Amino acid sequence: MASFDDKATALARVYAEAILQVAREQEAALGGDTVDEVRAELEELGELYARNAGFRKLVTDPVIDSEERAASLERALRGRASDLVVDALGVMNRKGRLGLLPAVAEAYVEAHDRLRRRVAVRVTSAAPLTEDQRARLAAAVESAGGRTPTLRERVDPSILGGLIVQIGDRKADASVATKLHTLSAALLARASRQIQSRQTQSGRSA
Amino acid sequence: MKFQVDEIASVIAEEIQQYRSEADLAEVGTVLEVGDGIARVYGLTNAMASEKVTFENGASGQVLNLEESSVGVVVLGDYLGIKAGDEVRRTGELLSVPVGDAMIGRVVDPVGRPLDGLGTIETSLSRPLEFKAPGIVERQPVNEPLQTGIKAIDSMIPIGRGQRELIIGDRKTGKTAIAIDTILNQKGQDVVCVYVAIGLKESTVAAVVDKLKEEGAMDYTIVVSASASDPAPLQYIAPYAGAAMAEYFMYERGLATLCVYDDLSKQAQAYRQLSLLLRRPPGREAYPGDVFYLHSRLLERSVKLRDEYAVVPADTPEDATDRSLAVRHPEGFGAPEEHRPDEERGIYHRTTGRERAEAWLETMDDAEGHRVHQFPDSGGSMTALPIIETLEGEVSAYIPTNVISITDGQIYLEPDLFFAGIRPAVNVGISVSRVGGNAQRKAMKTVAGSLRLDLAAFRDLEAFAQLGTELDPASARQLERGRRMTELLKQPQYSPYPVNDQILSIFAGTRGFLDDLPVAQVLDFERELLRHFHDEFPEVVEELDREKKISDELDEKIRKVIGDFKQHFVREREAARAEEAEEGEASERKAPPRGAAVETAEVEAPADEPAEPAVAAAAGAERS
Repeated sequence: MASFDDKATALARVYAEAILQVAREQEAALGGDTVDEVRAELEELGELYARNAGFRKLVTDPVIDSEERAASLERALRGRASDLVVDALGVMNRKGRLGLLPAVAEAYVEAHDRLRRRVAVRVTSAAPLTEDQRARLAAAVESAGGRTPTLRERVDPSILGGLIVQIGDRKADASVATKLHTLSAALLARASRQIQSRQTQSGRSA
Repeated sequence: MKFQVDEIASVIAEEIQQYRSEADLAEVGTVLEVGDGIARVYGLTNAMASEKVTFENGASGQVLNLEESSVGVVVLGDYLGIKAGDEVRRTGELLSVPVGDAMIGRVVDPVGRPLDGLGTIETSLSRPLEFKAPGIVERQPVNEPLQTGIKAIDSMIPIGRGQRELIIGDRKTGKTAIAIDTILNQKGQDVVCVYVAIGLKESTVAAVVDKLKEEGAMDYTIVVSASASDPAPLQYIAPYAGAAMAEYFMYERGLATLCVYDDLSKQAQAYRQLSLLLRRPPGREAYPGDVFYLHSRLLERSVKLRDEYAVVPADTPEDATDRSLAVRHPEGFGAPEEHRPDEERGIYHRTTGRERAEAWLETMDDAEGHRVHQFPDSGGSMTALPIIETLEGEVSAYIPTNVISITDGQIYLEPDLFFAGIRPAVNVGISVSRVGGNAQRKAMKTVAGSLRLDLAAFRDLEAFAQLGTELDPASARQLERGRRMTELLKQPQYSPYPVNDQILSIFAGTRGFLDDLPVAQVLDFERELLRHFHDEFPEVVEELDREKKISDELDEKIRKVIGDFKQHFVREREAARAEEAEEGEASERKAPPRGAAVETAEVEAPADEPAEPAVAAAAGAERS
């Protein structure tokens, strides 16, 4: 889920783009896969922010002053995370934008996906997908959009069967539950229309 | 009626066979927050402004704000059933309402759902809620009257079909009454009426619908109701929905329509609420910057559409609407000016076009084989009667000034007149109609021509005469005439006058026949005079109907009938008075006690008017 605030989203994009740019430069200069590593680390930090109240407090509490916060972050992260990520957090801290961390993580993932021509695909199925199904689905999505899908799978028995696939805003619902639902709605509407028209007819003839 | 089971089963079978296993494709977003009828939705990246979206709980919404990663949606319907995280779907359509003949006689909400418990509305037609008003070429000037049946209005502030006439006044001055009377008077006139109630009490709407039913006016009326308890978004779209329903009859059927928006101040308030909740910047009186456009785009949709004519083969049916039936002028636009069509394909516009078509027809070799045809779906109109409620007569507030400047005139109602017993309480001095004069019947124009100015002069004189000054005979005469004309223009609610009756009674007034009658007898005289005309001289009424103008002979005849009748009337009154005087002496001691008289007076007062405080107090004292 994205941040609630449009302004925050826009700001987070700026930071994410900057981090991505530095990561690509480092990768080009030193080799390795900095860009992917940064993604993993940022995602982890975003996760940490969401789960860990202590970390959240450290990052957002206005009572903690900025130098203190910088020192704690140094202690906690330097050496464990890549220097690039720790430095980025330092810059965000200096500008008082650390609260944007989850939004920045998300924006980075988005930008990274775009860079790698990958696309996040949310798949809901009634039973866990088999390896074969996964491959066929990936192939289908790739042939349709030309981008490599990264599947995020969810199992929901209440859809009874079939699949729900969502890419960005676009959602293709081929689940049995939805089909039954539309069918019943159509039948109800049809029947009520018929009853109504008969009533009008009998009303007119009477 | 028996339920035929097998039929239903076969329907199901058919339905299942046709049912394809296609995936249900949609663009979706997620509700971030919802409250006060507004939802913020994440996603829906491709949503258009004003697009219709649907929520998981079945409610629909309209996209109003487009932002970086979310959109602001107003919820039309039950927003309490929507929660954060719900899915929202694009529909790719703009909001639309069902239209058609099936709507007539129904009471619906602004999205077209029935509110009258008469079952679903069977119509496959719909029109968009927001529709661009027709441009210059598609219009023609207002040229047909829309009779309100109210003497004070039809004589001095005439309304034409396609006009926008504002009804403005404080609360409880009879604004709705004028609109309802106008709807009642459209009976048998082939005018489809739409009454849009915005932010009114449900009880008021119920009373209006009841009255319309009782008078048989629901046979040609649609009521759209967004009452005070409906969410603001519904109140905001209600007038557009009403206009869309009328537009069907105007554009597709060439009919005259009448839309009453009761009232637009409440709609502006609903829109203000939405705008503030959507965090749009507030302006004057906290209304958003586009509140003028809110009303101007609605009222611009009122129009008198042009008539369209063409020369067609003589065997063309009268109800043909196919423009390709028109016989093209061989020279097209190069034809001589007096035959030149307005469109390449041989269509002629407006009255002048008809003359050109006729002129060309006469010169044709095969004139008998052709005729000039008027397309029945052209020439429709939408007359708008917007209502604005002022506070303490403040017409220079934001919304009243806006709407006054948009409309083609206003009918101004005053509480002072209302409580002085002058009902309808129209202030003739500042009420105007900017275009209706062209549409007024010639006969009415002749008899009522000087009425406005006379009454205005009378008002001035009346104020002056209150000082107890001695008046010269001319002024005294004008004063007496004014008092009688004011009396003559009084009219009870729900009793619209046919235009001929109006002409006759105003004729009697402006030609001085009432000057020597006591003011209290004016309305009796009028009533009996009209009955006299209908019973004894129906040919006069017929001639008024037939002829547009009052000829000299007719003028002479009417004068004579009124003169004779007056002599008879005066004699009768005198006889009655003499009789009464005798009886009065006899029964003086048997006068009823005071309380009884008060009680009768109270019962007689119309139910919708506030009882006069003095009477109410007296009655209260009497009972306690």
